[in-house]
Amino acid sequence: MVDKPVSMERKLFRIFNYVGAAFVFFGISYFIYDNWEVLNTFTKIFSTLGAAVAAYVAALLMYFYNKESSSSSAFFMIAGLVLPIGLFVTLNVYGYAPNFLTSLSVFTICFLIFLISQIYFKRNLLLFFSILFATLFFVSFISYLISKSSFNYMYMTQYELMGIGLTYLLLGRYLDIYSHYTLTGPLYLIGGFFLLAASFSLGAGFVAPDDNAWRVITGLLIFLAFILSIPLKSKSLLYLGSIFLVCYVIDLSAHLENVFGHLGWPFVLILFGFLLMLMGYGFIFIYKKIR
Amino acid sequence: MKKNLLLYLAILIPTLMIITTAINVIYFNINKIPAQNFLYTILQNSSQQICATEFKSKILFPEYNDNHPGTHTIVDCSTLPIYLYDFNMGSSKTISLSQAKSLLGHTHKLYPPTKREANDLTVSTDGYKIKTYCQKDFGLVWFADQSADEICLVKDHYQKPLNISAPNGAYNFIFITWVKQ
Repeated sequence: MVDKPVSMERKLFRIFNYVGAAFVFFGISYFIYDNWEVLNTFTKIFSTLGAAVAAYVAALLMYFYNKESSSSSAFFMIAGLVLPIGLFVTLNVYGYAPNFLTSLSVFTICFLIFLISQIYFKRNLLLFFSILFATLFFVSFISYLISKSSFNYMYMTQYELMGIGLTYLLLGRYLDIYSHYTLTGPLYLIGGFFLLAASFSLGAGFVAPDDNAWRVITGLLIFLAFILSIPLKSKSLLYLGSIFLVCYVIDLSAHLENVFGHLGWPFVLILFGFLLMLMGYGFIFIYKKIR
Repeated sequence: MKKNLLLYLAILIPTLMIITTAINVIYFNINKIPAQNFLYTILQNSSQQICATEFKSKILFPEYNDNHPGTHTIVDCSTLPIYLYDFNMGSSKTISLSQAKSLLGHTHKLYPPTKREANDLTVSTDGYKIKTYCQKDFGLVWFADQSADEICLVKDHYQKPLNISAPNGAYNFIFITWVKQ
């Protein structure tokens, strides 16, 4: 499963295909939204679930006709975008309003369909939808379980984001090893952002109460982001590390004022200035290592 | 094997989170019942909001009467029902004013309305509170599975929706006081 080099013409062809597929998706969504009250049951299901199934079948036919063609990817994209809408609409029409159980069912079905498709057809787009629906399946499963609990689990959003972020980083590295570069960069970027943002929000105190343990962990994660950007050759991790380091220092500065009293702010400004200079040198040094 | 280890870890992390959450939910899914029941009323429309304080005073303070200064004649508060929520039955029933006063007994040492703030009647003797919503962090969701009319029994992190229907909105639910069982 190695990414083959693609010519400029094929890249442009793919871009047009994907943009066209996105317009088809928005058109179907707006049609349903605007005409929901006047459409009958059959039309609601036919124009959503029917469109998704038709797009999927068209993609299969195009794939078997010409496996090298990107045309099938555009129809797989339409199917991936419209299928969850079609399933929600179908369940809603038959009396199952959107709730935790229907979401879990819809995303389980979408995840299984696209996972099996990816195993068989091995396309980047199918891999993207597999990861996307796996994430939505995970989120909806956790939400469904929590809806059945008697207790309020605090900060579940942050823990979910950290789990998803760590998973994305591991998946990104796995794809990188297999020279499957298309999704590696986005997985590093989104995974790194989720992990750092969730950890920072737990330690910083604007979402959760000030927690020094998480503040220390956030510092370690930021340090790791810089270190790992070199072996992983990821500029995303380098940029994320820099941005979150600035946020981290700003958060710490509020506490330095408590320690140093009225000398706190001048001391913070001086420290911040030297830190920025150091960051600049470090950033250039690591950037050259990545290149 | 080393290359696939990353894939296995990527699958293992969310799987472990789901299993851990499921075990927590199943193992700690207990049904707590307070040692007291409680009285409440449901306003029939938003204009009766003005009745809430007057109604509570009528039940809680024996010296309160209909000629108390501040009684108004604009809105009819006399038709408001008094409900007793019984935790053992898991349901409510309508009771009279005299029955409500007899249930009150010596549950709390009550002060005149001018010192009403000295009475924290919203917390039961064993630490439970009644809220007009059940707050949960469901994680990354884009809709709420809970009606805005949900009345919730709360103690620390424990929450349980009660079998109380507030047809015109939870803001019309007026908690009065905790009473003996």
